[in-house]
Amino acid sequence: MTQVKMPQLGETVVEGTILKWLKHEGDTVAQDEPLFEISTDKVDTEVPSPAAGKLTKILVPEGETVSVGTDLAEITADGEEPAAGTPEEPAKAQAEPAEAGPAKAEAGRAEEPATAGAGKAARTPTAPSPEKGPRSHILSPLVRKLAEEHEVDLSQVTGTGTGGRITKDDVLSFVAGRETAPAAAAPAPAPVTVAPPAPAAAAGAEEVIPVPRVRGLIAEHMKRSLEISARAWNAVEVNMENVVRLRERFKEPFKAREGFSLTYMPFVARAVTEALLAYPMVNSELRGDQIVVKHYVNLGIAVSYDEGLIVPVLKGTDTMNLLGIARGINDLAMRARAHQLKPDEIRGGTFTITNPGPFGSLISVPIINQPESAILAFDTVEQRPVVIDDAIAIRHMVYLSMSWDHRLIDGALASQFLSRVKQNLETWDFAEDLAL
Amino acid sequence: MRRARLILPSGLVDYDDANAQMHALAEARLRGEGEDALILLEHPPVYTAGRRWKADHIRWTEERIRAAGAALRFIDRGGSLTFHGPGQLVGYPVLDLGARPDALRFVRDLEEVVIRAAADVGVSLHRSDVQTGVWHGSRKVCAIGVRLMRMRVSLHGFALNCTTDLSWYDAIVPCGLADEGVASLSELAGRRVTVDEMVPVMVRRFEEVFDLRLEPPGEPRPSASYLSATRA
Repeated sequence: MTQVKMPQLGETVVEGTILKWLKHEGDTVAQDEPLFEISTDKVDTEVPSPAAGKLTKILVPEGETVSVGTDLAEITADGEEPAAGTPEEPAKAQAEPAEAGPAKAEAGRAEEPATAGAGKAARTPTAPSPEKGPRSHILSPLVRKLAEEHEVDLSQVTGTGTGGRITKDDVLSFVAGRETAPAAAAPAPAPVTVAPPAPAAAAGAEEVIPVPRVRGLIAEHMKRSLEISARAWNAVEVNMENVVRLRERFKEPFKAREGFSLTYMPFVARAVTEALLAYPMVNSELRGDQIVVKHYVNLGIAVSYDEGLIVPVLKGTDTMNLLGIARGINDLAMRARAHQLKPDEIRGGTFTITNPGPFGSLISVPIINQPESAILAFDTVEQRPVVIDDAIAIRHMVYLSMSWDHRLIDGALASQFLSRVKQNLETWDFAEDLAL
Repeated sequence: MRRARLILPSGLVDYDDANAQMHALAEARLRGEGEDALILLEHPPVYTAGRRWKADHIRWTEERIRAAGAALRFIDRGGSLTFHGPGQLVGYPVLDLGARPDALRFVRDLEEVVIRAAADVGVSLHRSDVQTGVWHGSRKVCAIGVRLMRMRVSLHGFALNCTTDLSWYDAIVPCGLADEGVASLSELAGRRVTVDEMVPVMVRRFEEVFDLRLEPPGEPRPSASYLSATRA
């Protein structure tokens, strides 16, 4: 007798759905004759019969989704006895106790009483908890994604699929239940590890984690940007004494009134916005054989958060003063970290600023946020010895650097733009703007 | 290097003819005859419904679809509804993926071909982590639907909107996704990016990603016997 199993259609494919049985129980099939059709995440296929003979039993009905390797049907060669009562059957039931559900119940009816008993006994023994079968650790990519999106700790979800597997519906109903009872919120999600048992030598030294959704999106986006743009880079050094003094003066009253700290970012954003209006080609987009020059400024602000990096967009900074920009950036950053951004708040940027400074970086080479044409990084503000009027002085200095798309921007323009930002930061009186 | 046949019928190719010939090629391939092939063509307006179509994915009645000059076909691929028509580059790769095919990889590779080809004309596209196809934001630029014959030879393929009149999509909920829209390369590039412009780009990227060499049919042109072209 031949067991027909759910085939694997790719290394990362863990399950498939029976679309259609092309033969009925009792039909005769030839080897390689199409026997059934399955669909996986992305592809449908008809599956040829692995053997010739009679289709004696269909174990999984149409429409059901089961994991790779699950027994789907039995084919008995001509002259061979049908499955029930064959000597290896009890052992088989013990080796593969995951076959619960209606299909197995049907199969059980045809078995000898003793055999059925063995199968039943084997269903509960060493599983981690009664409701989880040995296959419960197999997760489909969709389930994993859903769990990540909703921050579901899968160890708390009861699987109702074949062998206790967690299905999409299990996750969704868990989420629904959690939302109606917020007090019972799940703890922070543990990384979902689906690695095969590591060899003893490497135990604990390596961890294999499926690529989280956000990480995957960032990876795609970054790689694509480098492919599409002709990236070049330059930097200026800015004397931040002007900004530092002002910030020191207003720090306390600002925090008291606004409820959040005044950082350097709004100053840089304000200075950059003016420079973008002065040099709009830095604020443009190459669209096919056309250049879209934007005479408004939507500033992308790179925000790091627990899942990685996100770039919310502060729209219309050209209509805002320093205070408005500071409030806007704070609002976006808070909501980004709370996972509360709306989709249109991460789109439509014309230029991006990233600020690795708080993490101690001295100078950075960022990747352009497509379809924009440039991205500015400002790093650590620190005291450095500088030459001023033939004397060495100690000043708060910072490197402002910019990656830009050489398809649209040339070095001269990039330098002029950065010099303008530098000049703004060094000479502007921001006090009025703060309205304190 | 592995070779495959490049089949480029001219004009708009009737869907039923192309479908029948694609299946014939695949059956030959299963018998171990012929070569792997990539068919690149344009169809006259036609809506195709895959195995998972639902009645509420069709917004127009069949009569209205016919009145608009389009056909409706129910076919054997996965997925739900999609549209093919002038200005859309349709590709049917008929490839023998071997005894242990990695179907997921195959679909990823098709997406990769499209992403690279679009970048060649200055359009940045990406995959969706949930849905098949190639996207710009939440709008689908290239639909992908694949089926394997006898778990081995690929059928159907991709449909890349170049200069497609996107109002055709009003008739359906593309792929059953009510919240997502569609887009074309021309719209995203801000200029006309035609099927003719994309064919050589796609051929080059297809060769690169699948590591094979696409050769046009020699003399006499076998494409005439594979596909009958009809001018709309």
